[in-house]
Amino acid sequence: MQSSLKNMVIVLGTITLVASAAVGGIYLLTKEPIEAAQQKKVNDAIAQVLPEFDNRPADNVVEVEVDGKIVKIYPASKDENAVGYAVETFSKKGFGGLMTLMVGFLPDGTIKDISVISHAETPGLGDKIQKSKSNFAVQFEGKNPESFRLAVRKDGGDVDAITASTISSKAFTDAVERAYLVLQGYLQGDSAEEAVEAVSGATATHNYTNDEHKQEEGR
Amino acid sequence: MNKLQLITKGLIKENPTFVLLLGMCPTLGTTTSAINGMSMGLATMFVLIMSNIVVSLVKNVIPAKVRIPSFIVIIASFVTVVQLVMQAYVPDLYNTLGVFIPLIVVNCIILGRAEAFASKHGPFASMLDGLGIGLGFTCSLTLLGIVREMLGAGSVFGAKFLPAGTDGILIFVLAPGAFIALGYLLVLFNKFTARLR
Repeated sequence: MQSSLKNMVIVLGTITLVASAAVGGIYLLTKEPIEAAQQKKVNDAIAQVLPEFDNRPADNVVEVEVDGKIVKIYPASKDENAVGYAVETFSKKGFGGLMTLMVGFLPDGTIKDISVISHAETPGLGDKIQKSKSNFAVQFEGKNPESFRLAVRKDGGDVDAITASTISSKAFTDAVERAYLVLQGYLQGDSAEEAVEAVSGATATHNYTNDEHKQEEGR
Repeated sequence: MNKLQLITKGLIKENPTFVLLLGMCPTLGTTTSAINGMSMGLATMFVLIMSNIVVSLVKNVIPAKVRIPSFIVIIASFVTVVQLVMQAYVPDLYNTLGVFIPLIVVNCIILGRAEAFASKHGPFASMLDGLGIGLGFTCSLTLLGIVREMLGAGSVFGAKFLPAGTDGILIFVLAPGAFIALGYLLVLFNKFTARLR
């Protein structure tokens, strides 16, 4: 066909119109399955890291904003008694960027289980944070962060880092610590605002000790 | 060129990966395991077949000066469809392939076939061409994925043949390993197909 301005405008306009209508249609068709798939992933992760429960934790989710991202607390109960909390937490310190974990806590703060929701760590090295790849995450189970220091051994903590993947191990530990602090803030303050304050306060102190540590090393 | 030749040429004679060396970005990026490579190949094949059919259907009403933007809009629409459907029904695979799914739009194989073949032939021949080239791409990616997974992780399609707890040669799962493996596969491919071509 001749490339006159009128022809070009009409043809390109029609093509984009039809294409966008088709894409819009598919979007509407897949909208619900996509949401269901994402919800299922979260629900599976909750079920994996908590003891048996009979409520729907996703309905009672508490969202707390920390460091510009949302940490979600899913309270689980059985026969009206709290049996644990699943906390969807994150760390920005991963080797490949953002890492998202689901950490299950018993009501007394003991870690029940941890599941990796998403990560971008190096295959074969950092991806050993996943339980299917190595036993790294198992060492957290049954530990209460009150007595179990959440830092790798190099930093004076109790966590055995993955060989050759210290950064990924640190990020994982960082995410677990964030989950613990947010949950403690929530349980003590019982409100999102106070939880945030508790976390920022704790993080600040933590950084301070780190700096002090570095200064000592410098000397 | 008969119908069968249209399908088989993509496997050896005009193999997009080993002969034309097109679409290197997804080839190197997604072949960390056999299943990833194969999925990427299949997603690309779907887009290639569909865009070839549509382009050959509308080729006569598209003014020559706006044909490239028109082709790109058609290709991008099919890629978006693939992306949404994968997100809905195979979310794990979608997460693994990640950014490489939307990047199918800029895969030069697809625009190349639309421009070089579909815009000059009928819908049926164009479909067979898309199928042939798509099969060639899928086979190459699967082969590269198998080699890298075997050497790098000691498994084939997720089934581990090394004892548990042992690793393969890690570099083959990482980016440099993609170049090394592709290079040696190219050598072998050229050695064994020199006479066929």
